[in-house]
Amino acid sequence: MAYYTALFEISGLNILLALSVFATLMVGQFSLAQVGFWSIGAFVTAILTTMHGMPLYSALIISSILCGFIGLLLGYPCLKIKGIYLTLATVAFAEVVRVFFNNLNYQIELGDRMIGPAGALGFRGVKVIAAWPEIYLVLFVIVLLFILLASSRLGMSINAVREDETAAAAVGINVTKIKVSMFMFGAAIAGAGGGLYASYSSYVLAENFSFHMALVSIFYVAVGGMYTFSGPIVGAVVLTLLPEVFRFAADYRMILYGVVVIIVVIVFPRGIVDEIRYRIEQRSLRHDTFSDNKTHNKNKKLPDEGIK
Amino acid sequence: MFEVTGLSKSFGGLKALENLDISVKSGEVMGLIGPNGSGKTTTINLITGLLKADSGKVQLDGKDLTNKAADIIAKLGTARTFQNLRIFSRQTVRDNIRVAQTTLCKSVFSKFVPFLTDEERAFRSETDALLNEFELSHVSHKRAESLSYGEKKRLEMARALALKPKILLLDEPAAGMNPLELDWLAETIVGLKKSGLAIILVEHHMKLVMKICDRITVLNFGNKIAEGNPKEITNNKDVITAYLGKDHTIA
Ligand SMILES: Nc1ncnc2c1ncn2[C@@H]1O[C@H](COP(=O)(O)OP(=O)(O)O)[C@@H](O)[C@H]1O
Ligand SMILES: [Mg+2]
Repeated sequence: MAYYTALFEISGLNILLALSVFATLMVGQFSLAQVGFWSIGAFVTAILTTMHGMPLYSALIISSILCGFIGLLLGYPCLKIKGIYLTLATVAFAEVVRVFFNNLNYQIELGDRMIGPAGALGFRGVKVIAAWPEIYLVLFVIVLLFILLASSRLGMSINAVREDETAAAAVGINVTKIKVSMFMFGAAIAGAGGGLYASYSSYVLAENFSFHMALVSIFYVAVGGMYTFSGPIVGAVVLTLLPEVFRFAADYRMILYGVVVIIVVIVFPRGIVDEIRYRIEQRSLRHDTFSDNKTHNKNKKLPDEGIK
Repeated sequence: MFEVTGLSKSFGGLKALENLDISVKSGEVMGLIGPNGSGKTTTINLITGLLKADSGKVQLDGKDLTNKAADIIAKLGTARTFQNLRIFSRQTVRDNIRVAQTTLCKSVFSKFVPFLTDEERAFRSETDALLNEFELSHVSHKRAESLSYGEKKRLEMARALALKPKILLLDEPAAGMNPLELDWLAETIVGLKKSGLAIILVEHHMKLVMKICDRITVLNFGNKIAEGNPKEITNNKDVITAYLGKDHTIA
């Protein structure tokens, strides 16, 4: 039972990471910085709750706001760079954060021992005050925000920016503002997610928030789909459970994992959710064409052109 | 009153536009014609802020638009279509129009929870009216990418009008239209003009230009070579030379 609870909890945390990547992808930006924000959220929340006795939710809110603010500072100059260069800049940011926390020594005496981040040894003994109810409450709030976005004019503007920045500007949308806001939103989600992770796992190590984790976070979105927020949710759950299914393969399970990811990406080139949605749409369009001969779909462009 | 004075732009060594003056009153259609590469699209891009002008001024009703950001220029009452269609293809036809209304929202709530505001009801009836006028009601729920070419062109125009502009800039709206659609286009532009809109029409389809424009400006290699009413332009020697070359003989 404890095993399944743990899987449930880790899935929740990974969904948060996936949604934070997705938030920046919503405006067509491909960022690997989320791991850096996750790391900041983890250390800041751990310091606030464990060393300063702050309640979990206050610490999470402060971590979110702090990450959102750093997202503003990073996002604004990053808008000037495009494509692969933006991605590289975000990798650099995550590296800077990793090195920073790897060297951070800030401990205070609590009870009979010293506690706090101890450089490369990490932060041991973080107060464990988050389990599935806390994780899923935060997730619920964030999903609610995504639903609100999807049904609002703001959400339409975000989609417009993603599809065509030039046309979006021509209909009066402030493209810069939208892009920076979504970058901040993604950073804030990662801040809260990292904070929950620290309060869940009791041990925070900067080395864990590495390039590998950044890649996995992109996998979640690539496998699940990047057009609606349900994509990254499905992707995160599938890729969290997959290694467990392959437990029998012992040392070879990560190879199987890699093979399955490749197969999924080939079978569902738009991601699981978007591919299924697309197939259903195509079927209904075909149906339309047979029932009245007016619609011509021959030259239809594929709906998803992938990452720009 | 929409006024462009001394507008210039070079790309590297190429002078794409030199010292252009245009003025358009409300309720007037100004044709902007010229051979390919003469600077028509560049003019529209400069006016709408996609390109920054090297020098010159753009004013709308006394307000300065020169080199402002594209979204600000749109908010100040300038709307356009693109020579190469730019619609939001994954959004529905209705949402393509709705997204353009967002800048007109007076209440912040309209941006976050549109279903809760009164303003939204007015927007909805405006959307319906535009869909109706541009004969898109029957496809309003479809993704824009599934429309036919003519429908996409109509959608782009409807989206531009959703901004409630004072001046509308159309970049080759007739390209690819069949005769029936051309008649519809002419009728629509005349209707818009009568409603008091100022219009700049970039077009190669001369019959259409001569039929609906009040005045015409002719560009060649970035320079204005003529301005006048359709009759004057048809008989202008420089214009005939620019279009047909020096050595032609009138048959
Ligand atoms: N962004 C740009 N960069 C460089 N040259 C450009 C750019 N846009 C237009 N030009 C050049 O400027 C000239 C005018 O182009 P354009 O305004 O598109 O002509 P048209 O009258 O056919 O619309 C052409 O020679 C074109 O190649
Ligand atoms: Mg052109």
